[in-house]
Amino acid sequence: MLRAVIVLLIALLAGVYIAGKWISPRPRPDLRYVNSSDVHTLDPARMSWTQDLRLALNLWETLYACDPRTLKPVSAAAEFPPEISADGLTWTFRLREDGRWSDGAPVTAADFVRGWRRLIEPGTAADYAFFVTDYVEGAAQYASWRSEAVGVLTVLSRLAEGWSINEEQASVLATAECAEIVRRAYAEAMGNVAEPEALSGARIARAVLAWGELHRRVFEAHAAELDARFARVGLEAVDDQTLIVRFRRPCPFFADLAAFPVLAPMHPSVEEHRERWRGAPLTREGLVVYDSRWTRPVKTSDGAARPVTNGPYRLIEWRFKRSVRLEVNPHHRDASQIACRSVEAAVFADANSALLAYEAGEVDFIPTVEVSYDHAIFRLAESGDRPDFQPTPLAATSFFNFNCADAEVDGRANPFVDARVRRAFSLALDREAIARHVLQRGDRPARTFIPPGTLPGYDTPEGIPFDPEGGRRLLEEAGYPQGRGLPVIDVLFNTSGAHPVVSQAIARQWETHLGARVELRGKESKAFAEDKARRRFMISQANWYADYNDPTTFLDVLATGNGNNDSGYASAEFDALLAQAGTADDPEARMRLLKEAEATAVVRDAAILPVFHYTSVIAVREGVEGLHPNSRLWFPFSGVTVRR
Amino acid sequence: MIRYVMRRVGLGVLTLACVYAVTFLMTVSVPGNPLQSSERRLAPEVEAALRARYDVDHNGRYFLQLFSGLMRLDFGPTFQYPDWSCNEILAQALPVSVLLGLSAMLTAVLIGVPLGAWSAVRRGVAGAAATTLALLGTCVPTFITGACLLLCFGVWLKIAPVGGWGTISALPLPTITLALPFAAYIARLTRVGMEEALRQDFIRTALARGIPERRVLWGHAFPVAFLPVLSYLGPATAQALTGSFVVEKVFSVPGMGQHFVNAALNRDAGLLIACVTVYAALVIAFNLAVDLVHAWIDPRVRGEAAT
Repeated sequence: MLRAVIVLLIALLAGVYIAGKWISPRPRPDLRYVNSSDVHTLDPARMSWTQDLRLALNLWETLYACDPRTLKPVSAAAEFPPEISADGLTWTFRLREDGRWSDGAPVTAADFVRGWRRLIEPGTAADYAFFVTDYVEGAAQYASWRSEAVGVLTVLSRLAEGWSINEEQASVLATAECAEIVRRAYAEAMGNVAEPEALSGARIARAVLAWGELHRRVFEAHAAELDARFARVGLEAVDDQTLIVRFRRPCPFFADLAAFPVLAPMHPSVEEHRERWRGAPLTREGLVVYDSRWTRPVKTSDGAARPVTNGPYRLIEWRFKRSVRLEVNPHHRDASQIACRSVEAAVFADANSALLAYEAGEVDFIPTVEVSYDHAIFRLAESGDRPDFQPTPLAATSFFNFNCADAEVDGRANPFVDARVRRAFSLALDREAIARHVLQRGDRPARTFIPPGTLPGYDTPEGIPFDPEGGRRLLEEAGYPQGRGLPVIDVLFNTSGAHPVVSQAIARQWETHLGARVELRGKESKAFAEDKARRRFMISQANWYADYNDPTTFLDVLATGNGNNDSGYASAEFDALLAQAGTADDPEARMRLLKEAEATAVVRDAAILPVFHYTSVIAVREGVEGLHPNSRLWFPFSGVTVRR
Repeated sequence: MIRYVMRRVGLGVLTLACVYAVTFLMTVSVPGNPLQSSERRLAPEVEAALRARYDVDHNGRYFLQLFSGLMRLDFGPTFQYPDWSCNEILAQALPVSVLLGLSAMLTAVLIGVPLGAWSAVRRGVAGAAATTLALLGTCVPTFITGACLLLCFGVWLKIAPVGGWGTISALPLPTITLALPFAAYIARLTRVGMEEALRQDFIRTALARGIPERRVLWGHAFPVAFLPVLSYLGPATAQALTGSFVVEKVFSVPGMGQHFVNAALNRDAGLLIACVTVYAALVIAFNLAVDLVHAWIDPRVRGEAAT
C-alpha cells in the first residue's frame, strides 16, 4: 500500500518538476498594459477588434497617423496633406524617404499596393475591405470578379473530388462569367448539353475526370489573368515614393481612412507564406491564403526577424493568451527619440483581476475598465478621488433596431413598419433616467445616432425628446389608442454586459408610458447574432463604433441594402441625401446634407432607437505621460514616457 | 490481466469515438455562425469562400476532413484565432493546465488524506474542525476563494503576482484555489472510508492480537479506506489537468479551461472538438490507470477481471 502512495507521489512530483521547466522569469517592459482577452489576429488586414488595432497601429505605419489628441490625420509614412486633383478623384501620396521596414529596407509605394490588395482578396475576409472597395476605382469589380471565380473553382473542385453539390452551388456555375466554358466542357465530356443546374448526382459521379480537367483549365485561365485584372484597380505605385489612388466617387475623409491600420503596407516577404497550387499562388479554390503563422515572431536562419513591420515598434514575442511584447524598431526614423522602449500587452481574462493587478502596480494602464462595479469606478473618477481614472466619452452608440421591413414577425403582426409607431416608442423613452439611474457610469443619453461633439465639423441635429404624451398621441393616430391592439412587443437583446438591465428598464418605461406589453428575449452573443441576421425580432439591441472621423461611418449603416442595416430601413429620401452629400464639393454643404439625412432617418422616421453614447473609464498610473484619452481609444505608444 | 487491459483499452477507444461523433454532431447543429466574429456582417460571397475554405459548407466533408486530421493528430484551424492552429493552442495550453492540475492534485491529496484520516480517528474538536474545513472547501465557490486569495496575497501583502503566468510565484494561489474543493472531497472520502474500515472485524482482530494501534491504522485500515479515494483520483486528475475556467479566468492562467468555454461560445468547432477529444482521452486514460492500480492493490478486483 505504502508503495502505491510513494509511487504516486514521485510521479506527481516529477510531473510538477518537468512542467516547471516551462516557467522562467521575464524582464519588466517599460509599459505594461491590460489586454482584456488575447488579440484575435496580428494580420492588420483581418482586424476588426479594438485590442488588435491598438497593437497594429504601433507595429505598422500607415500613410498617415491619427493624432491621439485631435484625432486628425498627420504625416506618417507619407507627407500630409496629399495632392488632390481638382475633381477630388485622384489623390497623390508622397512617401517619406526615411520610411524603413524593421529589416532596414525602405518602405515603397508598391508595399502599400501589396497591403491593400491583400485587404480586398476574398480569402482575407476583411471586415474593412470596404475602405478600398467602396471608394477606389475598379476595386469592387476586381473583388467581385475574384469572388465569382472562387465560387466557380470551389464548386468545380468539389465536383472533381466526387462530392455532390447543392442547388445554390450549381447556380454559381450557371451565372458566372465562365458559365460558357463550363457548359461547353461539360457538353464535350458528356456528349450532350445539359444545364448545370439540372445535374444529378449520378451524372456528376460519371463526370469526375472531366470536372478535374475543367477545374484545371478554369484555374489556369484565372491565375494567368490575375495581375492584368488588378492593373485596372485605381492603385498605382508610380515610383518608390509616389502612390496614386483614383477614386470612383469623392471621398473627402480618405485621409482618415489612410490612418487606419488595416490600410498598412506589406513587406514583400509576406508573399513567401502564400499557399500555392499547381505553381500559382492560389489555393485549389482560387483563394489567396497565407500560412497562418506568418504573423508570429520568429528569428529565421539568416538572422532576420519576422514579421517585418514598418511602425515605431516591432513584434518580439507573442505568447498565446499570455502576452504580446513589442520593442522599438531600430530602423524607424524616430527610434532614438522614443522613450518607451518596450511594451507588453498582458492578457487578463477577468476584468476584476485586471483592476487588482493595476492596483498592485503590476500594470501601468488599462484601456477600458470594465468591472462589474463600474458605477463605483465612475464615481471615484468623477469625485476626483482617483485622478488616474479618466472618464472618456467614446464615439460609440448603444441603440436598438426597429424591424422596419417585415410585416410579420414569428406569426405576429409587426407594428413597427409604421414610422409613427416607431417614433411613438422613441418619444416614450426617458434616456436621461437610463443613463443616470440604470447605468450610472457616465454614459450620455443618446437622442441621435452620432454622438454629438465627437466628429469634427459635424453639427448634430435636434434629437428625439422625451415626450410620452406626444408618443401616446402618435400611437393613437396609428390606430393603437392607449396601446390597445398592439401585439406583444418582442425585444431581442444580447445577454452580455449591461444590455439585460437596460432592456428591462426600457420595457418598463414602454409599459408605463404607452401601455404596451413587452416580451424580453435575451440570447447569448452567437445565437443573438443569428436571430438578428435573419431579422427574427421586432426590436433588437445593437452597438456601433465610429471607424473614422466622418458622419458616414454611422449613417451608411442605415442606407438601403447596406450589409449592416439590420433594421431593414429603406428610404429613398435618406439615400438621396447621402448620395447628394457624396458628390457635394463644399465641405460645409456636405455636412449640412448629412445632418439632414440623420434628422430624416433617426428623428423623423425613427429607424433606430438611440439609447446612450458610451463613456469608458481608462486607468493610467501616475508617472505615465502621453496616453491621451480620446473618443476612439487610440493609443500610440511612441509618445509615451514612463517614470517609476 | 493482459486480456483485461486489452479489453479496457478497446472500450476506451470506442468511448472516445462515440464522444467524438456526438461532439461533432452537436457543434454542427447548434445555431450561430462561427465565421462571424464582429458586429459587422461578412459579404455573402466572402462567407461562401470561407465556408469552402474551412469545408464547413458540407457536413460530411467537414467530418472527413476533421477525422482524417485526427488520425494524423492534427486538429486543424480555428475560426476565432486565425493566426494559430488548434494544435498550437493545445500545445501552449495543455502544459500549463498539466502543471497547475498536477500541483493542485498533489496539494489536494496532501491536505485531504491526512485531514480525513485524522478526523475519522479523533472524533473530538479536532475532527469537527477538520470537517468544517472540508465543508467550506466544498461549498465556497472557487471564484470567491480565488478573489480573496488575490486580494490578500497579491494586493495587500504583495507576495504573489495578481494573476498571470510565467514565474514560480504565480503558481501557489491558483493551485490552492483549484485544490481546495478536491481536497475537501478527498477528506470526506477518506473519513468515510476510514470509519467504515475501523468498524471491520479484521481491525478488531488485529487489535486483539496486540498489533500496535498505529500499525493497525496505517497498515491495515488505511489501504482499505484509500480505495474509494483512488477511484476518485482518476476522473478528478483528468478534470484538474484539463483546466478550470473559473480559476483560469480569475488568475489569468493561459490553460485549457477557457478554450473549452470560449470555443463553445464562439462556435469554434475545430477547437471545441480538439478540447473535448483531449479531455475525453485524459478521462479514459486516468480511469484506466486507476483501475490498473486498483487491481494491483486489491487482489479482489484482479480476481474479478480474470473471470
